[in-house]
Amino acid sequence: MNRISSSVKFTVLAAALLMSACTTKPQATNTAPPPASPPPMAAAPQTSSIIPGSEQDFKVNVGDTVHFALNQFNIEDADRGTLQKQAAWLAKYPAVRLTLEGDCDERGTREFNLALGARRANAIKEFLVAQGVATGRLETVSYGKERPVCTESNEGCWAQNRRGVSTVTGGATS
Amino acid sequence: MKNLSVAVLVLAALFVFPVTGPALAALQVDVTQGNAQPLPIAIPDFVASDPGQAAMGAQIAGVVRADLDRSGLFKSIDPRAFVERITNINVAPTFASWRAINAQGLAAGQVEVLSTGQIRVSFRLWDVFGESQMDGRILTTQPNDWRRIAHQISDFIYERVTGEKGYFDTRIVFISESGPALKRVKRLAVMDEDGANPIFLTRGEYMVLTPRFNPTAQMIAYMSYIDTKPRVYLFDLETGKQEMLGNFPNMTFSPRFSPDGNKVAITLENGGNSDIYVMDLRSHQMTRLTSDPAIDTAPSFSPDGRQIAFESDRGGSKQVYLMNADGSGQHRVSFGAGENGTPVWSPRGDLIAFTKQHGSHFTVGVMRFDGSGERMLTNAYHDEGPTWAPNGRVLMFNREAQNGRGSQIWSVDVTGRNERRVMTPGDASDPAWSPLLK
Amino acid sequence: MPRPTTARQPRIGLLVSIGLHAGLVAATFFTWSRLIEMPNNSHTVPVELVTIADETNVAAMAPPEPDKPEPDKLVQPDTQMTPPALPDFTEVQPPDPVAPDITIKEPPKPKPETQKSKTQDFAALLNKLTAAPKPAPNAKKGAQAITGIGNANAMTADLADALKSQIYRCWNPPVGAPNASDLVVDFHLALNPDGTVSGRPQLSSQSAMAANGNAYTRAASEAAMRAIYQCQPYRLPASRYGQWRDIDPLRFDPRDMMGQ
Repeated sequence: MNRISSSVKFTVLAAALLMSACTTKPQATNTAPPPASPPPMAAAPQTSSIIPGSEQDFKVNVGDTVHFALNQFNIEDADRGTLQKQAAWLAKYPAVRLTLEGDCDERGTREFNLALGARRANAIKEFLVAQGVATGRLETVSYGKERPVCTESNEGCWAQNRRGVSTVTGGATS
Repeated sequence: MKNLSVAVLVLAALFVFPVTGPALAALQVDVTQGNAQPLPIAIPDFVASDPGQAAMGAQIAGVVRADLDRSGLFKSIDPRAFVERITNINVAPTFASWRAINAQGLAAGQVEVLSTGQIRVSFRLWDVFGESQMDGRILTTQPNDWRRIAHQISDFIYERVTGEKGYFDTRIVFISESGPALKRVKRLAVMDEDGANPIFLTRGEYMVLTPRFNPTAQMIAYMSYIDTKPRVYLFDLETGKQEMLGNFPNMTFSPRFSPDGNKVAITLENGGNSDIYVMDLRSHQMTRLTSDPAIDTAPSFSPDGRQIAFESDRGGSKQVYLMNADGSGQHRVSFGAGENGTPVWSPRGDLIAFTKQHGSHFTVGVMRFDGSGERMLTNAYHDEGPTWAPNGRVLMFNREAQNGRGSQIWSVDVTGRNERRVMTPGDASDPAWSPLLK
Repeated sequence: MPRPTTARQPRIGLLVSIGLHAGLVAATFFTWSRLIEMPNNSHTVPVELVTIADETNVAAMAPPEPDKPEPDKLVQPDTQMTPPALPDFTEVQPPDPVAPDITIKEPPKPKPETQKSKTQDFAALLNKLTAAPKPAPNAKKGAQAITGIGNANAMTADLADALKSQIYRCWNPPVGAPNASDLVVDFHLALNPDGTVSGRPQLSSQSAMAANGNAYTRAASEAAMRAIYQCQPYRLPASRYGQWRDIDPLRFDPRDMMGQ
């Protein structure tokens, strides 16, 4: 129907179609292949104040945030390690439930960004499910552009705001 | 027909009676350029028989002056310039003394208190050059509703002079914002069109977004994060009752009432994908309108209820699309530069207002419903989310400052003139204009 | 429309709760501290409306005119007032046709607005209206109807331009109205040798009929009438009075300015 001039855009669209078409079956090709060697997290000193299996353990030792490119919602290679660690941590603490939050930068209308945030949250969910996490342990929520972590109107800030945040909402050790 | 015969007589007279001097054919003049400027109008404080009522008379006149000034189509003359003092509105004014201060219109009114405790406000609108009465009305109500009387008088004057309905006796529902940029508190609020009588409807413990009035201005559909579950709610202004619209496992957002008020178009997210549905408020039946794997959102009905404009990225970029109210005939209409979204159909039906995005630059504009005749009305860093006055003549929108420095509501005439800030208690966003109140 | 702000039916628990919340929130965040008022069931008496017509002493100033129903649905009859008898602008004969003298218009408190700023406003408007200009001579019915005066037209083009350049400043065109073709109005105007308006400008029969049924056309004709009066006297060469004493049609056509 419409002429898509930019092949980049087309690639994005194709990715979008693939991602969104998998409401019934997880798109293995998209999410499954793990990178050969996920970049190790900076070895955070496991101080005695952080209880294994706690919310803080998840935040500090696993990593709760991944980032997205403008208008996109595919999981970046650089973020696969983080999500794989999340999946592993969830396997270790089977009572834990997560809320996956999708956020956007300011460059979209309020309504569109709510939808885009939902796509991002869902992309994280599908990745984790493909890693073996039970769907029932994961909830998604989109905040669109309503919850920025950075307010400057520049790319450095926008990149921080285009994110997915996994939050422990139940079953953590306290 | 009477007009016709009068005109014919006049013309006949011109032919019958010879003119002095060299009789040539009449000169033909075609004036195609004008000087768009506010109409100077004099609105003296409304007269009253005692000082207490006189205070109200002054307040009413003040509100009428402010209303008309705000429209950009009128300019009220400073009362200190008045030559004649109106003491009785049932006596014709001395037109020459109003012409002397350049007044083209004169609205003279009076206030009385009835034995029932109600106030009765009368006014006459005079054409100063034509030396004739253009309108005259009596309005009666409770004293504490005097502002509505003032707004209705403004509407009468506006309508009589411009030929189109006014919009002053209306309300605005909006999101009141406060707190630091990274932790905004957002509350549902309503106020009069001029910013008076603001009321908070929610207390800010959960985020609320995108409120819209129904066609009777009694009901507000909005999105709320109660219990961190983003869903569309309905707020009944008469009863104060809130209810979730439907019961869905996933996010619902971007509500908009149908023109008859019996349906709400919403966006429902499922598995990350957003599509547009319509819910019948009587049967609570949901009808799916779009099933594209792309994002479809921000639906808005045409005034006849037969079409819906919406925003979609199905073509690779965010654009405005149209479909029939049953979901058939989906097609793209915006082909202008950049990306285009949040279409809102004018109550007149002639135009669609929308938000245009060029990178990080957002402006508000209008186009015809076939996408032609695109005109941008604003030019700031981030203007978004237009809403129409019920007469289709003025728009309000959300203006966000750069670097998270807050959000305000602004208004602009459909011609792009008369851009001004709408006064709100603190920061505000997501305005939606009510219809004229009943 | 009931107004949720007016009556206050005390609901003690709610009010206490609201008060505490409001106080807390206000103390934390807000400089603007209006108490939260939840809507309640209170109803206010809706505004009642009646149309008032010219009363006797007023009518004495302006002769009574044929009744014309006011197209207003909100109006309720009131026994105390006479039925609507609003005079039609185009039919009113003013008691005194003497035109206002522009040269002595000095309001006691001069307004700051200058002609210059108005012109700038207008220029800004034109800049904002992005519609491509349409060819001007479309639908010039008046010009086509009167044939055989081509020579006169050519000879008087400068007069037409001179009048146009004087009258346009006073014409507040109805930009922004939905249907521009409703807004074209034709007058027959007679001028005195001193450039003042002679008698009352007459709407063409076609415009008068249109104005009768269409509030926009009526408003447009009134705006044009105000322009005619406001900008007089017109400075035109006295030696050629015969060529400008009658102007017919004097057309006000805002279509090129509508941006549509």
